[in-house]
Amino acid sequence: MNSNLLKGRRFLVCGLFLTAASTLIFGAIRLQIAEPVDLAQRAESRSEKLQEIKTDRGIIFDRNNELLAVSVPHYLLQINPSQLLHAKENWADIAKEIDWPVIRLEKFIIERSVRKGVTLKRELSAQQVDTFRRLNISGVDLMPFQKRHYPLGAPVSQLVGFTDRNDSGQEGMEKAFNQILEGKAGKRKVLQDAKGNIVKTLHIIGAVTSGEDLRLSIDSGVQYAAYRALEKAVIRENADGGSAVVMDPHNGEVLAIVSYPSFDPNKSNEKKPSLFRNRAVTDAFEPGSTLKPFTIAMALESGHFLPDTKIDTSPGYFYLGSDRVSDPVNRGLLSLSAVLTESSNVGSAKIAMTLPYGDLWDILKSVGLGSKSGLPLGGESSGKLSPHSTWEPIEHATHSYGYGLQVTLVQLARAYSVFANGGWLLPLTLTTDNALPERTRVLGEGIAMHIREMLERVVSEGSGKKAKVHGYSVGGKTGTVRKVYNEVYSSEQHLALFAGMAPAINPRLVAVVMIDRPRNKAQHGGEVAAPVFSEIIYEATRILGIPPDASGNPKSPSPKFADINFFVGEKN
Amino acid sequence: MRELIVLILSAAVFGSALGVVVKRQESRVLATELHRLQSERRLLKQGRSQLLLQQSSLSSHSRIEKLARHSIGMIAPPTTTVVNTK
Repeated sequence: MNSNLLKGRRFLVCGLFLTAASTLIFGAIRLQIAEPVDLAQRAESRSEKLQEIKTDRGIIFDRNNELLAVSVPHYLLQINPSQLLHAKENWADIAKEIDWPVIRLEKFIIERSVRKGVTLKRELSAQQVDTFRRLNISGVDLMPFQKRHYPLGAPVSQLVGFTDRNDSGQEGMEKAFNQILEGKAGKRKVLQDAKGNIVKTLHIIGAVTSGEDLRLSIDSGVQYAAYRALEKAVIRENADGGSAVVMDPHNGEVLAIVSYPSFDPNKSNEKKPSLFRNRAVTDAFEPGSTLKPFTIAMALESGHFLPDTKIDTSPGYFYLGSDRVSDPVNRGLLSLSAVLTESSNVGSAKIAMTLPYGDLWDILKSVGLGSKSGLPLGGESSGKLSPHSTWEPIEHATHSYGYGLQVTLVQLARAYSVFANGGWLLPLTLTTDNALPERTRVLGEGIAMHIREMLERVVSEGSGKKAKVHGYSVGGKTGTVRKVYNEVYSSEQHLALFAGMAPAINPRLVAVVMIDRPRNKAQHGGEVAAPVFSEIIYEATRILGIPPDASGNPKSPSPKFADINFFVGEKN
Repeated sequence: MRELIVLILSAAVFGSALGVVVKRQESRVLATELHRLQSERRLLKQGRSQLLLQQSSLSSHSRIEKLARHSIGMIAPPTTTVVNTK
């Protein structure tokens, strides 16, 4: 072989290799350094995508795991007319499934032939969803969305509230616990092909937190019964509305909280803002005679009065300057207990006025009147209890029988719980996951017992007879409050109230009822509100399995009170 | 000596590069698996919600009351007829 030839070949091969290598290197330099950003972006946008990881809203249950609110997937049918235009063979199937004549669907598609996504049907039945899944026609898509259902409807709607189109809480507990219920959507980076199909998950950027379920202290049976009783009464009495609260006085759990009129959150045409108001929480009113037991409790606690101390209420009225405090009739000499059974304004005022302003104010304040109850509901009114330093003498008198201050129905229920549980003030709660609540002693146990005995007498022989529940001892106080109309107390517009507990000896339930502006002849709390209380307690004791404690004869109070040694009595 | 160090370091670099590739792939597989399980959980939860809703509509107070009163003629016992067996 010629060595020159060999040499030439070697150069040729080396030259070829060198050219190839330098082409690669230059190519790499061009891609990496000359126009790197552009390429990187193009590559990323084509293949990687951020995708939301969805989560569903939690469920709201009552205390017995009955459903109050739940989100369920629904589907709407979306079609791509420009694609379907050329797939006539599928039209008959689609039209048949949604009960349309084929001609109508044809027209629908042709009219929208330039568009790519049109909603054909808003809500599909489960069967339709199955069929369309099976048919799997390209250009026909099932778009999932969540819809909130409220199986109990109107009786619980102001409490539970509802969500908006985006499944975010707007009212009630849905709003108060929105964050917990809603959870948090996550994010992941995915690789997708040209058609947008996800090939694989690259990595998860934000972890998903699923919406948690919420369990309320409400007993839907009691809630339903209370709503029914209230509804019946408001219609019967021709009233503007009403509300009621039932609670367990020993742990502060609210078992029912109802307002009428209400609305069905499942029907959008019933959603009128005026009906959203949870009156038991948002509306403050003067409590009237239902406040008198607190005046009596103050008197007993002062040590200057005993349950049988006599108060002279003759002649049935007295004047404080130009202001008149009066009873409907002259009730003469009354014991403390009789001041309650007879519901004497003069008696209450005279008792209060023998003691300093601060004594009355202290007890009203300490049982939570005029302060927010601690419920997580929006729009709660704190009521009104002015500082006693601003009181005029007449205000001292009126506060003792429930005028001049404003309370809400839940406040009243909470305050009556103090009598029912032996003197403890508890925070109210609407959930059941609470540890033992922080309680404060605000009244002596003996005094609470005395008041319970007096309240029992109001029902057995006083103005609250219609609150009786067969088989149970019941204690409570009526109230008939004149509403303020055009800045003066109306003699025609009233609130009918009843606040009480059952069984009276050892209360398991506290319930308060308010009927707003009854229009029949009888407008007294004992005539209008007490029967509603009786009905609610009758149903609630049955539902909760609270055993009867009284003999068959509802006239005779249970003998148990007589056995109790009251400490005020011991001093005697 | 110097060559040995270079050799060891090169091997280490190569090894860790391979490690990165393996781990990265593993993490993708796990992320995909996690997402699959989360989707499955969501579907199961949705199924549960649907069943709960069905159960609740079948056991609603108003439905039970209507059935009890009208279909099988039940009444709430008057308290006079209730005997407390405690």
